[in-house]
Amino acid sequence: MRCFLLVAALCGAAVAAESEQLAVDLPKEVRQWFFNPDGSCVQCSIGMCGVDQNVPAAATLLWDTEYGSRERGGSGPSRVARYCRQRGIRVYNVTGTATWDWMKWAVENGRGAAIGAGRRHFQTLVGHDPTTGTWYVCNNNSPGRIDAYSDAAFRRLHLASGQWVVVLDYPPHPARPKYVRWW
Amino acid sequence: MMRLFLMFAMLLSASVARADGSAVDQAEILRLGDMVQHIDGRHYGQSDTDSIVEAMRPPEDDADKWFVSVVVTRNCAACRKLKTDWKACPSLLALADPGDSKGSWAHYHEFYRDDQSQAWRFENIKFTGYPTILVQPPRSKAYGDPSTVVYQATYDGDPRALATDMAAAIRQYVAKVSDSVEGVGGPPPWLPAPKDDPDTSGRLIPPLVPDEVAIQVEFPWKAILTLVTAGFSIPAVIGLVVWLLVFIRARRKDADKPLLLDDGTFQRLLDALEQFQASAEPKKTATRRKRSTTTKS
Repeated sequence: MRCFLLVAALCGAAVAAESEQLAVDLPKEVRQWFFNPDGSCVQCSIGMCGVDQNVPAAATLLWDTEYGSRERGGSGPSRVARYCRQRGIRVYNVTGTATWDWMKWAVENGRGAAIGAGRRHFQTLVGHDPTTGTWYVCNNNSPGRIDAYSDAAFRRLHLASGQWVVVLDYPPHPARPKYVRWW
Repeated sequence: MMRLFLMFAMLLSASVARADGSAVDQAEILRLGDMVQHIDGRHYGQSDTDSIVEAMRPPEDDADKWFVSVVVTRNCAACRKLKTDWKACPSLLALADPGDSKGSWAHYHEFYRDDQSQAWRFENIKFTGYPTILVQPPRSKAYGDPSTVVYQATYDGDPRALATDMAAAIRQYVAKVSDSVEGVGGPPPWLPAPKDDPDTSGRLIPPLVPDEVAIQVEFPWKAILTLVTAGFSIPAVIGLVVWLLVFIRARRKDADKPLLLDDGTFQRLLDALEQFQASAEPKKTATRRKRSTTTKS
């Protein structure tokens, strides 16, 4: 039991960041919808960005809906390009050395990004704190939590999968509105 | 305990195996190299090599755009009318263009009230009807908390009135927060260079304009001679008093001691004494005051 707790504590290095402060501010319950049961990590990651940016055609990639048939299983850039064209989803499909700039641009402007992260794996970049050099990533194998990475660790994570990111070409979501007596 | 550990290890390996499968086509990523493919339904496959460098860059930052959200319901005639009117009304398009997210002044979103994937966003909002239009400040926080509702209204069918009301609310809000938000409005945090400086050469050569005026009074020899030869005389006494005051003040200044009067008041006192001295004696007194200047090198 102690062993289990130890491993759990190590996994707990994943910081439960305050999700509302992140570029992708989805509640845990919504992130759980994008759990990856069958190697559909690319679609899970794009879907999470889709629901965050209020793009139903992207949010529903994993399921059969009026926006199109479900897209399950592994993907590469060409498959993403194909199903995005079919569904009319506007995306930036970026490979190579420019991915770092695109990831920074996405989170600094309130958007998430589906990114290569881990060996042959895709996850969702949900935030970046440039003051501490911390990157926040949601893994679709454990969508209930947000993992925090240092610059160096994040670099290793991204390079392990190959430099490929997908950013939705839609406006970021507004902050959760609330009434403030400003007048 | 061992069993638990083994079970956890199995779960972990299963997770790794899932991620390590064919989920991402790494070979294709390597084959493509540096590439940005913009799939926007209009320009696919038409990019030429000259535009590749430009295309590799991310778009301009848009964190300073305002947010306009339209919350609608299904089978809502007023909602449909608003969407139609919005596309046809230049005043509304000037605020937010649903068909041109890049060119739009504000980020435009359309939310369905019964969409469970978005409903949590509006937990703090009270809806009185649909469609409801919400306006919020940019996420850059240039105008305060981006979650603040700057404007909320339902649509009464007049697109121009809606645009006017939205713009008025934004103006009113900006005027309110500009005073309180750091870095917005107000004076800059430093003294800027003058816009029109008649003597710009002053920046290049040492200042010749005196920056300190010292009051010097000659020793009142004549007043002393008058007192010695002619006896008591008010003008002569005043001359001595003036000299004494200036002398004491100069000594205190040199010793960095506090002064009883500032320079202006002291000057007025001397002027008053001088006037009194002049009125007491028609002739000019022995004491002559002059201004001398010192310059900083």
